[in-house]
Amino acid sequence: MRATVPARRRAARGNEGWAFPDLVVEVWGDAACFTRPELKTERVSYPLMTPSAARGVLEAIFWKPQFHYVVRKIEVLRPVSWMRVRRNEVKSVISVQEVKKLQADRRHRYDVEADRDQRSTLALRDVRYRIHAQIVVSPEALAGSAKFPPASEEKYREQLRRRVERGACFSEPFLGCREFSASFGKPDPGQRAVDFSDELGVMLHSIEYGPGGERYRWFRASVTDGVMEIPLEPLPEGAVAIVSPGWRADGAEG
Amino acid sequence: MLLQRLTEYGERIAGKLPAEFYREKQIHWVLDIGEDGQQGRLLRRKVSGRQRDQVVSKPVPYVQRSGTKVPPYLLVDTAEFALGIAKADKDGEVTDKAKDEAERRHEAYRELVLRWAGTSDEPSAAAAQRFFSAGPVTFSLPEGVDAKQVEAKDTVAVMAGTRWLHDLDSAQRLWAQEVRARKGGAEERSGLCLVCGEHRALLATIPEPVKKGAVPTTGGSNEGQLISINAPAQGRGGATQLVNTPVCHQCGGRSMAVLNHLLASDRHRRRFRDDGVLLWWTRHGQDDSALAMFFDDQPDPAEVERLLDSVHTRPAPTAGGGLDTDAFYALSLGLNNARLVVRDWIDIPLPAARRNLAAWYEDHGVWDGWEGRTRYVPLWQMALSCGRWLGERYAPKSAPHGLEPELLRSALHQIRPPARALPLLLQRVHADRRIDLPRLALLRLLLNRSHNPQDHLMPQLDKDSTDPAYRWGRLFAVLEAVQYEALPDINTTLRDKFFSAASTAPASTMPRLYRDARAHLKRLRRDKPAAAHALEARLDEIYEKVCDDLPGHLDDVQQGRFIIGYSHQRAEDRARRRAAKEAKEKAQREAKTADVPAQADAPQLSAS
Repeated sequence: MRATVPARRRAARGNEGWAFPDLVVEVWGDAACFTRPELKTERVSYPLMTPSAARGVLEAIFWKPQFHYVVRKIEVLRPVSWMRVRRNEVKSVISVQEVKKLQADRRHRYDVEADRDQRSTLALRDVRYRIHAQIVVSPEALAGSAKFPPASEEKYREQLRRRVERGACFSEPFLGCREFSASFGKPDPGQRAVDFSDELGVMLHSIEYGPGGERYRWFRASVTDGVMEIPLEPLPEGAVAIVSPGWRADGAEG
Repeated sequence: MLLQRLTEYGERIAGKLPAEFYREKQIHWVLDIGEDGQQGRLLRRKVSGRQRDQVVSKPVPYVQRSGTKVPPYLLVDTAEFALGIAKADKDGEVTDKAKDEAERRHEAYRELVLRWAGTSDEPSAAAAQRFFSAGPVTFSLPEGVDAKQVEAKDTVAVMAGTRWLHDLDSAQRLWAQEVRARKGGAEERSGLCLVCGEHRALLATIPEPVKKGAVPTTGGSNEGQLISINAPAQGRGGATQLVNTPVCHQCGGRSMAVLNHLLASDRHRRRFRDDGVLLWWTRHGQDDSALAMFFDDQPDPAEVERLLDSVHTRPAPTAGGGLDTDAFYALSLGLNNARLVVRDWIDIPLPAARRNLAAWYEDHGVWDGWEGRTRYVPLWQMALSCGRWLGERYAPKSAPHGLEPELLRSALHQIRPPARALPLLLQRVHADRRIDLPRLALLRLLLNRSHNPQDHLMPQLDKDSTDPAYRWGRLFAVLEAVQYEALPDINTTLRDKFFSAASTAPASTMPRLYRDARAHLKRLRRDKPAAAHALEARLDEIYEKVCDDLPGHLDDVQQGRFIIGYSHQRAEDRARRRAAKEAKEKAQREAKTADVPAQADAPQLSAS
């Protein structure tokens, strides 16, 4: 267990200090869009899955507040190919003010036709990825409490494994955008990583949901022979100037 | 990726790019303030439509500006800013409001010029200081020019003697500072730039859009931003502008400057008629002649052969294992209102790009029996061949909407051309009763890139092919030759009358044509017995293998194979005719040199 073994000894035992081998889940779908932050109005996807999207897929399959996933590696199993979709969308998102207006004035309506915005998406087609991840159980859960017995990493690993084999999920996993739903399963040894190497620049590492709102963390991504290794630590905080959104649809006003 | 590649290219061609936040613009008037700045003379540089070569066009300060209090550019701006000439409304009247606005704009312009002149120690700057600090600008007009000819929207540049003031280093520096201050947003932000990965001051909005009209479009707006986040649904968490897209001043400015440079260059751009544009460049600019030839759309047979040879004889691009670091980039852009849409982005090693282009030529090249070489077709012509044939040429602009970009995409990615091309092409072939080089080339491409390996074609006549549609096509060509030999002066040939019927429903057409050919053969046996013999033999050879297998109706792909069989047979016939002609000429030459009465070879069949 990471938290119980001192750093010095952890590093010495190999596997970069992880006690168990990586959990491996394969995920595939007809289309995917992992939107780049610089081209997100007329969306252009990264050529492969981002770690935060991988984490989202895993959490759709199995999640408990007692642990979180660390995505360590993503393998690309299909050649990168693109497709273009143009859709009619809307310009605005629902805000607290809008909800209040709707509540206050019964005649107030939201007219979709007056709020149209046509946007194009350069998405990926026919994707398949192999996600390698680890589970990190929080120290509180490991210690246990009066209400819960101490949890173990093995327990959650086995639960995830069983759910993946059964095809069970809490919500439909998706590939970057909710409309591109994903299938998942055990790793198929017949699938090989494709010959694809590239420098992808700065990529979203993970999103931290703290009391102060969302915090975005980044890393420099590169793919070598179809494999993207993800560092445990993202680039130092504040390196990328992303402002947390001032408000959330379900939260208080900003 | 895309923005990184653009800025990388910008570093490579830094010498060719204009100064930061400068852009090429036509200058209509020059305000000459004299070397000492004592008097202003306005010089006319406006030219009429015919004298386009005399246009004065220079890189001048430019940045996107909007709003109610529009800020000035440094030194080169419209006459409203530079001279304080008010805008006239539709009726030619100048309202008080327009006068006030012109005054305000001119004031802001002078203020900016004086700010620059104060920081510079160059003599021309001192002249500008003297000239512009004397209150609103006064100037003399050249002879024969009326003050009304100076319109508020005309661009005016300032010269001191023989020097353009906006070209001075100090002016370029101050302008860059000014733009940074304008585009940095209300509060200074710095952080890691998504493009260069360095910690730098960040932009609030992208400073310049692409030039007006640079991206062809049928929509309303004709200029656009590559990075534009204007509505809450576009940015993360409802935030607009570049709040969540950290891009530094240098990368933002440079990538747009490079984009404009590429859009303006003939070599690196390909505009589509309908809408959209494709830009291409390479990382190191190594040998890109094959790419240039492809995008120029003038396939030179010798160069195509060289390209094919180099791809076939050299080891596969992957064999190098990353030894070749040059890469090919292609960016396909469209315009959606005032936003640029990335329609396609290609980033592949240069050898892979060359291989894709070689495959393109190989897949569509048509063997010409008469000339004895393979001919290649420019891409625009291939797209246009799906349009109407007017008797001498294709009707301009009759190519199906969007076919050309789709074919280009097929070439660059080495993927299948759009499925709709085949029915479109067949429809035009039937309607025009014309099969020519571009149509054959497109048909070959469509069949060669089919997912069904059975559709893949031999480059020349395949005598062993047992495909019924292909053989029917060949048979039709021979029947046509029989008719031509028997009745050379006929007005309406077999092809004019029966090609469509034969290629769609051979079962009901071909047996009748075959029967009717007997009458032609009878006549030939009388007039040209050798030709009759040869043609009959060929007819029988093809017919005996197809007569058992009569498809009632041919689908699109089969019709394609019918047409290919027809053209292969004709090319073969032409090659044979050419060989016969050469043999005859050779025999004549030999007879002459030997000075012996010619013992001509047995006459070759001209129709065979």
